[in-house]
Amino acid sequence: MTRPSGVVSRHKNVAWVEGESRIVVVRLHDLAAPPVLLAGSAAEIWRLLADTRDTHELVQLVAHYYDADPGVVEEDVLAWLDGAQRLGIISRLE
Amino acid sequence: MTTPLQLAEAVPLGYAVLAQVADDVGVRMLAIKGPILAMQGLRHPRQSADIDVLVDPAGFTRLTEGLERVGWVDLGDYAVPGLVPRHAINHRHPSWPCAVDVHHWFPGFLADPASSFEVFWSRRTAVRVAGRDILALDAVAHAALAALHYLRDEGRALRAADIDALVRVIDTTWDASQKADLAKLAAATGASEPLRPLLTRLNLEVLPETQPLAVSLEEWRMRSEASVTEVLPWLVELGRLPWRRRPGFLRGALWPATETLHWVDPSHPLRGRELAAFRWQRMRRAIQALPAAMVEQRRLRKRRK
Repeated sequence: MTRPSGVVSRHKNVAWVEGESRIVVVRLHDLAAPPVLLAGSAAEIWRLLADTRDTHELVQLVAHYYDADPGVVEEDVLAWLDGAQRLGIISRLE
Repeated sequence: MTTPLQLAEAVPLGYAVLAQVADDVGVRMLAIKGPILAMQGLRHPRQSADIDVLVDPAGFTRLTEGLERVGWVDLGDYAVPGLVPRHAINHRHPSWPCAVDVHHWFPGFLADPASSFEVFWSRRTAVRVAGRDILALDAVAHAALAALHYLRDEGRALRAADIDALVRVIDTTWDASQKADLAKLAAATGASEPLRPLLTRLNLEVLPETQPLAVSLEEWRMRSEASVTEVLPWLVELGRLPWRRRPGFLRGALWPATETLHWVDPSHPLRGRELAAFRWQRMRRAIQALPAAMVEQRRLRKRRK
């Protein structure tokens, strides 16, 4: 498996709050769009994105958090990043 | 999104949304009240139900139009008069549990709203809300605004407790220059007299106003001293109108247009017998409240003499 590359960060134009069991993200660049709700591992990835991360580093951190093998979580993390990018809540730089 | 937004989530996010709309339409806006007051240490944190902002009066319409473009609907009932001139427009969004109050003026700052806004803007600060830096009133101006909010209902016990708490905060955490600044700010925004109760309790000088008043002190006093709120604004407004406009005003007061009644519950417009029953209950309540309102109007008039 090739090492995931690129740098990922929260989109610069979103607002978010941490609720009791979820994070709610509002896309300020698309105010007509509904808020995005993040729970479980999605919320954890969002917290880890408080700093801009290298994708490989992010996979390592998620694996460490869940005490799992990076190879096991990598596919899910990359899929989540793809979805979050499509929603416009994160940005990726190759 | 399937789960509705909670109030604790919606209020901070709403401030960020308002700031973005203001930025998009190029209108100067400052966040006020609610969580901003708590962040500045001016009140204990508690859940707010509204998002309140103060805007440059020149950009007020542009901002409210911008809000409507992203789904926030103006639901104000403009047929109902107030003891002081209208100062805010209320917006709601079908997916958000909180309302947005856009203020172009705040009662008690009696100078021209545009000149007061310039004073506030020149002192603006930024607060971190929902992961964003939002422009807000600075703590001194915000303390003045909070005090005016409490003093306009000074007869109510909860408001008296709020003003006591504010006095304690200012007295124990502000230095002499901040306190002096409060008195100067009051004079520059036409709020010296409305804030007299606060300034006096803080042993601060009540400085002469440095700006002409755009709203009379009389109207402010009537608002802050009135002990009843039902019907009284209608009586006061009736007295302000020229004779030729009074019959139409009275007709509207007793039998308001149907569209102005729907705001009570926008999802359930009243029709037929339900509408007739609502009108009757409303009129009966007004008739019951009328004697107390007339007594209060006479009392307030006597106090002015």
